Amino acid sequence: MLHDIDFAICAGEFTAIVGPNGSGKSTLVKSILGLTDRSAGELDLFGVPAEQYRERWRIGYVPQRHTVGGPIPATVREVVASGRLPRSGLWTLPKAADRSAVSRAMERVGVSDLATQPVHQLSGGQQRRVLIARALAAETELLLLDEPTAGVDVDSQAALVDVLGALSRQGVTIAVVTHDLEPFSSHLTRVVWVSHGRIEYDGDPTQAILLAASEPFAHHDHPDDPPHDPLGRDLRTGG
Amino acid sequence: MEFLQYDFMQRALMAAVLVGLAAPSVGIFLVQRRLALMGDGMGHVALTGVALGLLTGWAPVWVALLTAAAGAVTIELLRDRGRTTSDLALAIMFYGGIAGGVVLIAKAPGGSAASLNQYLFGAITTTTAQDLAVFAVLAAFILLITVGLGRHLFAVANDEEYARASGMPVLPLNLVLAVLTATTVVVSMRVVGLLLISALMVVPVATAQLVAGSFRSAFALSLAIGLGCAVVGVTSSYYTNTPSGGSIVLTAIALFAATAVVTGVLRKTRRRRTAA
Repeated sequence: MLHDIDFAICAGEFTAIVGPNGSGKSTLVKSILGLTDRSAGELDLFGVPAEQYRERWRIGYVPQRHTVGGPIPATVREVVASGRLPRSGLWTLPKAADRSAVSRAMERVGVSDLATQPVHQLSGGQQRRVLIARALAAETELLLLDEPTAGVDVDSQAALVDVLGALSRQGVTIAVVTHDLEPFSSHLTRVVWVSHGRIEYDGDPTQAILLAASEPFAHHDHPDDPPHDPLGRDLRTGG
Repeated sequence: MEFLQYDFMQRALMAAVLVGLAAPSVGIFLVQRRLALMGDGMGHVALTGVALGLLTGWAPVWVALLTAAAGAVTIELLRDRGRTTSDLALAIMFYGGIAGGVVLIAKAPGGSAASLNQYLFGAITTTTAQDLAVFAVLAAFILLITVGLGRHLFAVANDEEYARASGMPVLPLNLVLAVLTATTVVVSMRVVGLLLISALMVVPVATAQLVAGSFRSAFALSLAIGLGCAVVGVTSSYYTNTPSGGSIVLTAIALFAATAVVTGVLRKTRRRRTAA
């Protein structure tokens, strides 16, 4: 359940939405994506009310799941190309521009050489990069990633974060939902701390990383726990 | 090819070819969505349609098509609104379809369980030229849609949540697949029977996924396997004097078992070589 959420993601930001399990951070992202119904409140996407917004492909979603798909193998190119479909008509054949967008998306995350490999044969980190490429294939402007480093080994985590850092430098707006700020610390421009369905902190990442180090977010995982203020300040205002 | 001198066997073979191509082309998307038993559920609902057709004197094939399509659309709408889970929805279809069929056939003029046999177990050799024309139109419709919308149906089957988040028309595509499943069931019921329809939608796909390296190749291979099994099954049923539906399905299962053994042995050999 989310309450009193009021924030905007601005172009060019690299935001971490952080909080303990059950804090509401994934619900927040799913609400932005239209995957969860809102009981109240307003949501604008690129300045348009979400209910009237028709260009959802501008928001690329990378789910928390390690992999996607059913029992039939799909290649990296097939999965990435499926991310281009929201921009094309139902009965149209892929055009040269579509094929080059798919190739470029694979290049940007470094999976071009795996294009013909079945996705399920790749490592967890590689599969996560394929899902990022799928999200980029529609020439996405905002990338929303749900726990992108969860279940990925340390080396692959570093490679994944480097990819996200490079995308951010190329102008892609990025928002990651995570319970661990550390891997992203060198690229973040903003941290939004969600706890008990409310935003408890919204601001400078350096300050947030200090807070997280003194009292890890994962500790506030009981709904009855009062919001914690490790430095004794009013975290709601970020001051 | 002695059996081809008989008109009824020529028609049977043509019907088997149509079903062998159409059933896996829909089944591959159901398998990817982990709804492999959807065809079974539709088969049971179609049984109510057949019984309704016999009861009212209307063409059972068309009544079965309408009933199965209505059932399929209802299930998709229930799933979409989160009112029930897929397995629960399928279970309700299974039981409701069979129960409706049995009750309605008892009320049909001269109705008996025996009247249902040709639909339950297939009666390919009774296929008329008119039946064949209807099956050809329906099979062409199924193949046209599954090839034309294949990339979109794949995207939804592969990751429905992502497709929804990125603004794809998920519900309309799922409804299209549901109607295609119902159509396939009706085309197949005279060939393999309502109780075995799902096998022809699923088993060729299961065999193809053992060897295919991509979804596109699995699609093509499933159709080739479905076609081959239908032709071999009908031919063998003629020479062994066995029911065609069962023969086609047993051929498909035998091919799956053989492929599973061969691919398993090859994988083990490769692993041993890599380790050495």
